[in-house]
Amino acid sequence: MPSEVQDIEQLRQKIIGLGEKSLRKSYYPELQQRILELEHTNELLRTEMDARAALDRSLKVMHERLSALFVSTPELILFCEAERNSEGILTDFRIAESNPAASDCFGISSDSIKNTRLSESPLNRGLPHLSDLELISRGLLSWNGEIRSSKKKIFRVSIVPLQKDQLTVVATDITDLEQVKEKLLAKNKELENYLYVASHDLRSPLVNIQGFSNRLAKFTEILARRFMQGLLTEEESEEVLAVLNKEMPKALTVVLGNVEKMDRLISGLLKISRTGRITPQIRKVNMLSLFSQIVGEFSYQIEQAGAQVSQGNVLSCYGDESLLHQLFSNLIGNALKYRHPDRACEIILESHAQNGFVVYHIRDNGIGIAEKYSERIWDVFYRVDPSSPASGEGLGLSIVKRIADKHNGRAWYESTEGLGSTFYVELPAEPFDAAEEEK
Amino acid sequence: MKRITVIITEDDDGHAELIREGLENSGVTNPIIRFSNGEELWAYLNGESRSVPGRKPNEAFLLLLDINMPRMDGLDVLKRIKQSPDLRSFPVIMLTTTDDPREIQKCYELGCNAYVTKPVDFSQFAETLRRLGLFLQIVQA
Repeated sequence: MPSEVQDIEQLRQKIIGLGEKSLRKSYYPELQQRILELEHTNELLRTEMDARAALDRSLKVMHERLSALFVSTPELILFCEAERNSEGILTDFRIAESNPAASDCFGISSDSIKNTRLSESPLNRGLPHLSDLELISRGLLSWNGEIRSSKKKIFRVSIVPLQKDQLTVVATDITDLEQVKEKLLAKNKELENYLYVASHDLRSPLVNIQGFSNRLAKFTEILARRFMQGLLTEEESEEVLAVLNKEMPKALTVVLGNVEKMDRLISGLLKISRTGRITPQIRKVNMLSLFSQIVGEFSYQIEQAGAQVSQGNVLSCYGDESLLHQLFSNLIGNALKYRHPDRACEIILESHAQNGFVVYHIRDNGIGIAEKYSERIWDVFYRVDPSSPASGEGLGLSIVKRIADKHNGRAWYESTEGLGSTFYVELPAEPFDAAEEEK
Repeated sequence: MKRITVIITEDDDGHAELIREGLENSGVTNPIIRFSNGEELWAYLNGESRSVPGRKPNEAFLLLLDINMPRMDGLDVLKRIKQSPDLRSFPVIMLTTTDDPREIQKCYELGCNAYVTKPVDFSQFAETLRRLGLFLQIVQA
């Protein structure tokens, strides 16, 4: 029997009072000491068990909270695991778990998402390179970026490490935000254009008013001087007469003409701003009868021009009838105004349905629009040739665009210089909530 | 010294008249011609004008150009002038109502020699001419 085992056997016998007889009492303090030690250990164990139970409880709470977050957050969350080939080389990451937001957004169940390779998922365009994903899974990198999915959705994406060989992909669908941003940018550009117009077009008449008023001031000086002088030579009287009968009236004509011009510009700006502020009353609009009404209102011009206006397939749409009346009057008016001098004017009104919208076509065989004007013709006050007698105030098309905007629609054109133009207006085929952003 | 012809290209009649008056009052006695848009100016410089006799060979010009004009605007004609080996040496001064820095930068990028906003301060205009080394050829006060 090895000595160690003998020692333990002796100790055991000592504790239970066996072994050397009548020595039991002398072992009692040792026994007592041992019991105390056991009690202490017991206490420690109990404390540790309590701590564990508390930890369990808080882990459970934490788990519940995280699950609630995982299930209810609008952010898409994908937990991914590394996929390796037989040689252990990383080939891709597979989605191990995804939250309901991801299913909603991708339009497939979480079971179908499960096991999808990241490189084949809807988020595959613009992902970091596999070697970078590996660095992330090793905790050496994290990645933030924007990803455009194949379904024209835009995501802001963060990829962060989880455990070894695992990744968390968190994606926020910012498609709506981006659309609003684009709309805002377009509005901003429009506003900038207005400011540009205000600074240039309104300043231009002012330059004349100032210049010719200075001239008038000079003339009054001349007249005052001659008047004080009394007797005038023949030459001096001629000068006075020229100033009174020719120069001053001319300067006044320029001043008044430019005041009028400024007034027209300001009225135009107000007209545009009013079109923007009206809250449209959206109803079903019978475009066939609206077109007939507009054509009727242009009957004089149509007769004068010897124009032929015909209507093809004209579908109904939803919109504000009086705004649409204004929109199509501007386009039909333009088609008549910019007709070709060498041929009979023909205007064809048609439409076709497209993705919940109706696209109206106003086709003419007029003078067309040169490519170089294509960017500017929608601008407020822009006129291709202000000296032409047909030229208006440069408001028509910018009002067309504004009204189309108010209907969540669009307006654009195709044209061949010398052959004619077709203007297109896209309007909703279904009822909609009109934008009220400009109240 | 070669006599320079001043060409005002300006669609607004009032502006054109005020510029001509301003030049004359500051002592300019050079011949002054006016066109109403870039197209007319371009046709003249290339000897294709129907209304005005063409320029003489070796005739020198100072071009005063408005920006916003119908048919061919000031930027367009400035670009053509500065790209033409024949015409690029003529000094071009832009005269316009906007002081938009982007517009100004664009004009300088296209090669204009000076940019002046309307209403033109003709005492400063003389300074501009001096800076361009044109003062003696233009102003004979």
